[in-house]
Amino acid sequence: MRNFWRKLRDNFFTCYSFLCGFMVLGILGLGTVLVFHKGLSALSVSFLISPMKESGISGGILYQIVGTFITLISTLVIVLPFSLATALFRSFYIKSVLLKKAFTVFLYTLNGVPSIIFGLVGFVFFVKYLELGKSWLTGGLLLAIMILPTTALALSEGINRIPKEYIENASSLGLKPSAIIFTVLLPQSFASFISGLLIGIARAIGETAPIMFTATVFAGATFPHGIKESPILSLPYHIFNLAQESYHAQALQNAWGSACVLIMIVFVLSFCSLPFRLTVHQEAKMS
Amino acid sequence: MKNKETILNLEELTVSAKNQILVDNISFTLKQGEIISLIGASGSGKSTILRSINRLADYDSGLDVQGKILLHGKDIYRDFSINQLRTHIGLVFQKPCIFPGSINRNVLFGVRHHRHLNKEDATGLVEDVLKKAHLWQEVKDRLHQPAENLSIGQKQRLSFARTLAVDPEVLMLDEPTSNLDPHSTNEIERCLLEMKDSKSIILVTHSLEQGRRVSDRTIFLSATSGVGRVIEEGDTVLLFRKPELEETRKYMSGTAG
Repeated sequence: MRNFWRKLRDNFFTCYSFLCGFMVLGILGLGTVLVFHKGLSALSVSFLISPMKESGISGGILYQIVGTFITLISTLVIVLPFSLATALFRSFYIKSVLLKKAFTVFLYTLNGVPSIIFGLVGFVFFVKYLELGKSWLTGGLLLAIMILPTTALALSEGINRIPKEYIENASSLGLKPSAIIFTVLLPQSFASFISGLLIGIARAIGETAPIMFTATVFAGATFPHGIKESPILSLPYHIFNLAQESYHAQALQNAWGSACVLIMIVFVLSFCSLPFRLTVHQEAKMS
Repeated sequence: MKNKETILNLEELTVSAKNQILVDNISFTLKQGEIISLIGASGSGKSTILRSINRLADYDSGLDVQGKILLHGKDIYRDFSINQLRTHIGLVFQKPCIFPGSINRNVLFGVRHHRHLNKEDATGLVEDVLKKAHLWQEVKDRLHQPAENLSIGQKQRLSFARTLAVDPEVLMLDEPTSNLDPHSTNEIERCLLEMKDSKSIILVTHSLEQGRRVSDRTIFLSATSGVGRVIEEGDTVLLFRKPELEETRKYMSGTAG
């Protein structure tokens, strides 16, 4: 009888785990199929290379793509040095276990802050207080702060996985901390860092809330002309606006087309991170 | 040996962690061209002594080092920067650690941070230290191949060559042959004996035979109640022939430690 219940419990948890696993795959698959099904018909070369017309009812999404990539690159450039420093601070410089735990909790908390809060704080601080106005740089800064925990934690965990012997051997040869960082820590955690960076960027690229108050406008922008008051167009905000025009069939069609492009960019970024993630898993298995 | 210059001097070295003493009141001197063996049971603090001399103990949080360690009469904690000290005192670990990259890169890994080497100097240095480490003949045709492909014995000799490339005057080896086959063990012992004139060496070993074969002086350590202390020290030949204390005799006969 006892065996029967044990077997039943095991089978239940096996079925439950498989169900949840397939549910996650199903949601991703269904969402993707839906976006491609609705959006592919809107996609054409001219849609990708022409500017928007008639508030998005006609024309294409050229400057939305340009703006999205400008945000992406500025986020990348800003987040790179900060996440390096943050990860090194957490994994190499903090010696106190308590301080390390507190700092980790802080990073996870920052990671969990809703993106709309970033938008509001960014609006008050960058747009109003620093008088930057709506600008691509403000958007890049905000998104960089938002993905900083993801990228820093990925690099930091990569550093933590490096066997202690490497650091001790390098130290015993008289290498200074900076030399240890550049010759041992960073090269050996490179895969983790790139993986975290690409996942962070993939997350940032789809965010609307932080940039709608600070960086992007619906129409009237092309290439940035400076730093202050230099807004851009962006795919997520474009989709958000067109979706609200749902009474107009062509606008909605273009929204699906834009979503299709956005999801393709996210997939490409996630796909690029795959070899690095596999390397990280391989290293974790070997260590 | 009596007339030779004292290179390293440990005076009442006591290391503790969280009020627990790990090694207590260790004193000894290392003279120019001398090989000292530190022999003792696990937990007698042999590695802790080496880590204190190389100041790797600085990284172990909560470790407190008391007493004096003098290099040429100068306090290693006061009169040397940590990186400068490590160019004078090299350490080879028990487990060989190979950095990603070629054999050549591994040999030059430490030294290129201390002095500028042009291509010719680097090539010459690599050959010189690999010969000293008895590895040259085995790797001379594949210096630019990944060091990861070497056997464990070759990796240990490569680690040894990497330390030699920095040219420390004091060389410390922490059970360098404990994972190696007899051939590699023999090669490392030969290296040590050949380097006697130019280096002063501290060898931590579990093997009584190795201590007897290689060292001029031997220091026996005990691990009574988890605290490492010197039981007996002296000339290796005399000490192995006729130890004065019962505890040393027991350790040598394998009935203690």
